[in-house]
Amino acid sequence: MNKKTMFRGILVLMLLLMLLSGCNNNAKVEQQPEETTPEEAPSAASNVVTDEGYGILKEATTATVGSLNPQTYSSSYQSTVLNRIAIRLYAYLPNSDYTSYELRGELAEGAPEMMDESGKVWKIKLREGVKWANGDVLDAEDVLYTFKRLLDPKMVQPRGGGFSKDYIEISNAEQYYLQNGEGGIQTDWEEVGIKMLDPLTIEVTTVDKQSATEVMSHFTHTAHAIVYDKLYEECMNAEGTETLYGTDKDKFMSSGKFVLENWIPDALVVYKKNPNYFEKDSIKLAGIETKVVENAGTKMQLFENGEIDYLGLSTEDYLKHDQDPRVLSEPGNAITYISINTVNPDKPILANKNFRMAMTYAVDRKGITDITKDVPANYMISTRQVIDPATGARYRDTDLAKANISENYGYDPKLAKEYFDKAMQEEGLKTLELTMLYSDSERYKTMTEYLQKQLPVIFGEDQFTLKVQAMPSSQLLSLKKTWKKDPTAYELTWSAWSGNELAPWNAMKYWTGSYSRKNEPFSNEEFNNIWDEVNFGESRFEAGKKLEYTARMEQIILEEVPFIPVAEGRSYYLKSDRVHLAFPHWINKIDFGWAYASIVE
Amino acid sequence: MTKYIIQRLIALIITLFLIMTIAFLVVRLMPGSFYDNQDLPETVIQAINAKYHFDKPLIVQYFYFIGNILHWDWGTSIAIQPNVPVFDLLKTRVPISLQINLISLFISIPIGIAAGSLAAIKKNTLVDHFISFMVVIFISVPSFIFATALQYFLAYKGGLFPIIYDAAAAMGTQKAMSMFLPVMALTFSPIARVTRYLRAELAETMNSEFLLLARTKGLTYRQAIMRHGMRNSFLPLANIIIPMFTNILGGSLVIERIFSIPGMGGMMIDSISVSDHSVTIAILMFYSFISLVTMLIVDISYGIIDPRIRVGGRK
Repeated sequence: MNKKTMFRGILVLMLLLMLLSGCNNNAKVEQQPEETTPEEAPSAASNVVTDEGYGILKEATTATVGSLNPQTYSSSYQSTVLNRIAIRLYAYLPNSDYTSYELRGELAEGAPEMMDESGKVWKIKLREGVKWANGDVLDAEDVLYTFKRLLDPKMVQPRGGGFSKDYIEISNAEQYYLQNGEGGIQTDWEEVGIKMLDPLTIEVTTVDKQSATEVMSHFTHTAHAIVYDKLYEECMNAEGTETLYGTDKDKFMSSGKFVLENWIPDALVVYKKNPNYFEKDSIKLAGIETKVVENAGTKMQLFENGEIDYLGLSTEDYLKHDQDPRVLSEPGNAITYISINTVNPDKPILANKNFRMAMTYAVDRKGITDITKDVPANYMISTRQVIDPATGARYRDTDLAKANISENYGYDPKLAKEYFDKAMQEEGLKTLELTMLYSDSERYKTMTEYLQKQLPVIFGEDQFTLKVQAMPSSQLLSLKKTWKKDPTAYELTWSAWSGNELAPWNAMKYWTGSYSRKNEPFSNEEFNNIWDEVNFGESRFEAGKKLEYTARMEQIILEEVPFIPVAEGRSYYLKSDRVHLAFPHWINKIDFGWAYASIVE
Repeated sequence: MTKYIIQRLIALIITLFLIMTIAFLVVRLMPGSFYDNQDLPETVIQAINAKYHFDKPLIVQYFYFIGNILHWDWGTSIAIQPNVPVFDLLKTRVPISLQINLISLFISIPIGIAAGSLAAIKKNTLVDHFISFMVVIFISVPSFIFATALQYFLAYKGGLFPIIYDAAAAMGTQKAMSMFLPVMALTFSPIARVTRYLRAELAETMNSEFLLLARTKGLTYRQAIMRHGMRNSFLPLANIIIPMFTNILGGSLVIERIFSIPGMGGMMIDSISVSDHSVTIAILMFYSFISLVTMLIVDISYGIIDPRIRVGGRK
């Protein structure tokens, strides 16, 4: 090969490389929102808030956004993104002194107005002058269009069921939504309890008597955010069964606190402050940039290099930083518990209440959580759940809730052994071997191995053996739900439960007899009746009744022991000093209020 | 030769069809459902199942699937990016993965050839020992270890490159800099494989009689190596270079996660964990297609390079 040929070869290779690096569809020149320089920007300390805002908050997340269509969203992270860029009728917003949240109108001008004595007809007045990001007016027609599409019987959107019946049940909504299914009843849209009275007013008719708070709470749901009708229609397929709305940054119209500036699925979301937002002064940031980073080590490197402003800490990382004043702590919403398959025919002892009591007393919750850095929990309703959304009073702080908690987090090895011996005698067993399934995460592995060592020590090593088996979390989740079809699906496993933090009584539906998708068999008539009463009965409007009913439901679960609560998850974050949070600490529904933070260089 | 190519193409189509059928059955029979993570009432699940024909027997679903494929309709995603046609989803991810993988392949081949030739020519010298030592390291250490080390030392500690891939950057230096580390992490193993293979082949060729004949004809050592030794040693290289592309695609799944590259790797894992069956099948088909095409190219190139193994040739 002579020099000329070699030179040609190198040239061809270079051209090929240039061509290849240019073939990426995403490699368009994007106009990034530039961080304003300190000279141009007002000082954060001066508290002057401009329409453009100041500073870019840089985040990293492991979660990805598959769609920005509120009507198809599925993950809590998608909800976070949508709550920044899409407007809802009502929302949980900061109070005036940034110490708590308030349930207020976002698109709605104020609280809904009760139109009749029965408490079933409600009028919602909208704010005047609200605009989409392109300048178009956002009014009651958009609201009506959104709700009609959410319930569209041809589209069968997964979120339609929740819209028709959750905090409130909208009259004929479910019937309209499911009319094409088996046994469906043909229903016209005009029969559904949502009407537009004028361009700034809608009327909602419910099946039962409701309170204004219940109506407002219903419309805070992310899935009920308003969609831009023109774009939604443009993105609809010919059959009218699916829309591509929200699947691309150009197929989404912003209307919330921020405007979507750029979105590359699985890589990046860029937001810019919306100068048209009704409470624009509450937003100090010029924008937010969120990168998708799945590797925890990479995330920590980005934080230490100043490329992101905060990050969630793993237990391992938390132990390295537990004395760091920049660490923030978030109370957990999920209670981790041991699921017991009480209908497993191969292990009838699981149905024996004495055995379940033995397990309850044998679990050393403190010992486990000392390792996992969670909070020991021998209760079912987590500390962040609020019993009175109007005052923000937490359920666990009430006397009734405290009465449900036993000493030493329910750990009593002596009593555990007594119950165990009783159960073994009743079942005619000399030895017992159980298998516990766990999802392949470090936390569950630690907890399972702890029990594998601890339980035989308490019950007798010659009498009890705990075998353990790991499996991917998605498979384990599916397996747990098959207990109805296959009662031998599992014996013991881990589950986590988190309910609506502002309505623990409503979230208890998971344990009602009619709820078909729970992980473990449990049905109790008294529990079912209380749940119906606290959610739909007239007595729920009486002071203190919700607390009383909720505490009783929790008490029934703890007495019947269909499963064993063990720990309450806790999350930790590390925050950069350049970010100043508006709130003094974590707040329900607002979290740390990253969207309301300010940047101080 | 044309007949041979046509035969191989038909075999490729039949194989793809079989893979597609097996993929459909395996994926649909896997435990787990799209609804597992959703708080949906049973009535809503039934309605959604009816919309996507999930309520029909598996064989009926299969015919719907095949019928759609014949119209080049790979279905729509129901979880990864709801309602987006799967083909459109792949269109955005495939170029990113291909870009990284092709660049790493084009870099590794010449480096591997140069190192392999040098090791063979300088056989049993310090140079050869050093190259062989590096080959052992590059082959035995997985690419994600190199990736993590490169990221830590060159990006995080050294500050020479961005820590993660810059998906938003336009074509240019910024983009190239953010691609450097993932590309580099992917090149080590192919470089080692090409080097090792070529060293062995060339060392053997150099001891052959025809090379001795070339020297006795009056060619210099260099001329004999370049004109006869190299050419003969390159033939078996085709056997490993083309399939190497498929291997690199597999290796990039982990590298994509480490450097936050929005390519095919993450999507494959996500689609399985959220039971987005259409997406899983489409990605499996993509990987199968790439593998089969590379095998076809190897077979055809063999026929071209070495007429002795041409199937269907003149008798």
